[in-house]
Amino acid sequence: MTAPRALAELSRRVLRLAMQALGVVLLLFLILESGVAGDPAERALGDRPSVRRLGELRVELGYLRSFQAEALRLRLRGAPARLSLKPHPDGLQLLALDGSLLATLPVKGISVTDFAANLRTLALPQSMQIDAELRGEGTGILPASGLRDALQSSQLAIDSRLPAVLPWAEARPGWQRFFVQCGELLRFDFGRSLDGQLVGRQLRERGLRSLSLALPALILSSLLALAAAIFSARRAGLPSDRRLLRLGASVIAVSGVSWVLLLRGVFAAQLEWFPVVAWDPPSLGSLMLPILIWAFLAAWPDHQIYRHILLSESQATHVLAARARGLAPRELWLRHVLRSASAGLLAHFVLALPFLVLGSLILEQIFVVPGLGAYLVDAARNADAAVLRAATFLLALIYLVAQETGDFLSSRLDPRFREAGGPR
Amino acid sequence: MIALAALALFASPLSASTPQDQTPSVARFALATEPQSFDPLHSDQTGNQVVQRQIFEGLVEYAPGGADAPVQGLLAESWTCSADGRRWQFLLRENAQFFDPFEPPLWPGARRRVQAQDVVQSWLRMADVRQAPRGYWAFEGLIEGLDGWRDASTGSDAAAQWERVSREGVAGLRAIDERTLEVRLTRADPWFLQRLASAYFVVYPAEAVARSGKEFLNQPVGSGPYFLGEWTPGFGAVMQTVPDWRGQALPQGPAASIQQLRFRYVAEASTRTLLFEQGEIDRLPPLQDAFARLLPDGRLAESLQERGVRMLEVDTPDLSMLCFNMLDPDVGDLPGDPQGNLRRRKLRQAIAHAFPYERWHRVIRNQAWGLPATGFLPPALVDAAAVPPCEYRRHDLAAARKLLAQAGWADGRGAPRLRIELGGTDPVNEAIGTMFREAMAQIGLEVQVVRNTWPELSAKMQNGEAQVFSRAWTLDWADPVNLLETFHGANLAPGINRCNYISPAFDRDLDALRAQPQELRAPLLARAVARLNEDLPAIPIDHRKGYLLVQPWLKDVQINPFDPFPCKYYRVEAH
Repeated sequence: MTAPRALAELSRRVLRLAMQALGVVLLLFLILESGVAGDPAERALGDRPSVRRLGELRVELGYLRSFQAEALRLRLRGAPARLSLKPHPDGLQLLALDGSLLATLPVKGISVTDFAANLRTLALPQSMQIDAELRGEGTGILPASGLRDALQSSQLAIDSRLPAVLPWAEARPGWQRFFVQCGELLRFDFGRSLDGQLVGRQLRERGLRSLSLALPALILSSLLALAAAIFSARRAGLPSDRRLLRLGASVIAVSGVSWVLLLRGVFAAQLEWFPVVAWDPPSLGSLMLPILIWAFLAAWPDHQIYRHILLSESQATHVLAARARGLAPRELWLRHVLRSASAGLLAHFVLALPFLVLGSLILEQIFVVPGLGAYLVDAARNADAAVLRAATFLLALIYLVAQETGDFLSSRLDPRFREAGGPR
Repeated sequence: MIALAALALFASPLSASTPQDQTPSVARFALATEPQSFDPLHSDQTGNQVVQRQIFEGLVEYAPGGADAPVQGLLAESWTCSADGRRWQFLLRENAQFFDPFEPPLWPGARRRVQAQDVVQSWLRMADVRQAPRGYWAFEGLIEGLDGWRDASTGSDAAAQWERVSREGVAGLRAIDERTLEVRLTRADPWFLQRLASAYFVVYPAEAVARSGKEFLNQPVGSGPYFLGEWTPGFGAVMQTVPDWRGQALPQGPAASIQQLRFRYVAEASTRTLLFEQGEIDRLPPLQDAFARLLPDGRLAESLQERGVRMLEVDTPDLSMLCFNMLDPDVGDLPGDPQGNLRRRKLRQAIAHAFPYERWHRVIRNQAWGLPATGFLPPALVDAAAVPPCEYRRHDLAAARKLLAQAGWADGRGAPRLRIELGGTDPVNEAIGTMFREAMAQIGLEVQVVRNTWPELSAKMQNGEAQVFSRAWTLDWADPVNLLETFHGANLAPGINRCNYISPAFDRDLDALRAQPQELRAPLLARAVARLNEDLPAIPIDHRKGYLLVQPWLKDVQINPFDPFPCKYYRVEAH
């Protein structure tokens, strides 16, 4: 390949990567903003949130531009009763105790003062007249839509015995949040998680810890799987191949958690050959048991895939021709089958690399390795949008790079592979 | 990548220290909840509290000696209180010093004396909305002028306001001189000192916060006996004793005799058990994974006894309840419908009589982890004996059927279909749903079991959409008001009153209770609890009970549910 062509090829690949990265950012924004992960503020505050605390946290998280804890003080006059205010696309709904709708109060295009006046003059039973008193400086000129934005998914109780304070908020527009987030992601500025830690630092440190467990395990399991696959493929259909396949199926059939607990019980608890905690202090020796367990569990599925690739290649025309020419089996496998299969095997291996960063949740949890597995599961559980956004973006990026690299290497190893990623 | 992985192995802040682990001055603990931050603004989580309490100190602390221990001075040498209980003056110890372990240190010799102004600034920071504090609820409405500063901190001139208040304090929080702090309360609070002993009221230097900014959560500077040596978020922390810490005289020797504390976050219960069995950690609260093996019949297993392991029982100051949404038209209390309210109250009382308490104890508590309730207050509270028991908290199907008939729904005919909302789909939640449905069927009530994720249930409780649900409340200090607040009308959902119970009479009693001196509280408390007993916005089920296994070499371990790891009072013997 000439230099200009190589440069053009490289530019094309980089451009494609950049476009895909932008697509990922947009997709992430749409997914996380759609509410599928829940409201991060509500999830973070747990069992004791109030509208006020929710508002304050939403400011922190960038959903609100500003928030005032007190804008209107509301109270029912007359006999003991209770109403509630609930946000609605048309404004704020005023509901009776049984949930029936009494009125929908518009908020668009009016100020908090007008909203308060509307509340006071609502046609309600005598016992449900509402006192609405403005609070705070400059409250009168605030747009009333901020009252609805402040409540969002909550509702506010108005009681005749207990005055309620309705807060006000200014929402940050979606497009503004998108561009802010887009800029942050592309600068690799991931912000802080709900627990206050820097997300970028956590992902880097935990990702490296996960790798220190996963990478040796992947290499070991791939070597084991390859050795077993060559053994099987060369004896395809014979009893030894069938026994190996049955053994693999049996290992796969039992849940991974059971294997981990069983092997830990034997080698760490009973025999005490390995420590129970693999990261205290971290060393290859203390990580050895989870690495071996991972390799043992991952080798069997890989064995079946590798065996299939090798068998396909061993039936290729050029291999059959070489066999017909009387080439010795050892030569045949080394010079033809393995060489032809190397592109497929490599693609499989390279595409497995991005997922290594995630580590193995079960192994990390049981052997107390502070890696990415539990971190990301906790982030999903707590709807920690900053962590989810950063991790998804980085993983997508790593995956795209790995895919391009695998594609490139495969095409170099095997001329049948083209950019489409498959033999033609 | 191999290089990166190797880097991760060698770049980890934890250093190889196996030989040290054998020395008698190292204590090792496994935490079930993850420590995430050393910033006292984040002291609302158990994992954070445990590690923060080793580094930071408040004005007072719980004395060693178990759950009934009184409060004793910590940073405060002495204090006085005015006759009306609202004005407090604290005199700080002369020898209390902050220690800065980070380079370059903030002060010559890395130490500075703790001053009254530090207390003012630390508490003001907890009220500063811009810092997103998570523990302000413990201060709310308590100290004169503090709520005002909290409101001001949301304004556009918050920075200028902070300059002023951090220098001058607010009306109820001022430094009189370097060693004297004055606190003026909005009302007398007989439990004020217990409040101060909680993890929310600790003191730290403003210079350290200014130096580290948001990274203060990883770089704590306090006056306690330990400083942060190594810290791996998600894994654990190693703490070292502060050289020449001021110390405290204990009967058995100086405080903080353990030179190194190693806290590890171990999420998986079976791993914690294994670590304890191998002697890798010094104490263990046994959970379901190994309870029957370690504590058969609730007694310590023989193999553990032979090793010298000790068992301590912990009565958690909490209440597990079956809650009703009092705004619900089928089970609640609606304004303007006295006849209907009477029928629905009898329905709640009938449900209380039909509830399967014994099965709950057997299935949910494994016949060991709960103390059946007799009323709303945990028996560990000194006031518990003074309040009436809840007579409906008794399994009595005949009484349940009778009450149901009085309500006009004999044998459940025409009665509303109940809806129990579960907060998960795990076996425990499933068991709660099944046992409730089957128990109510015995008196003819039909139950729909609704499965939610915890966030879904939380949203339903906040919005008043959950009809019947179970809930537990753990007290933050041994004040019954702390529990009864969950029924106060000012705390309606989305506040902590998830039952949406509205009773002006109950609210009045509780408001009066807050300001009453301890010796005058009993009648008011009894009256408030009697209202709950009759109205039954929730059915008291039980109080959780925990167990703690302690290795023979860890000495002087006492249980205080409000301060679970007072490590400076522990000792480790050679083993």
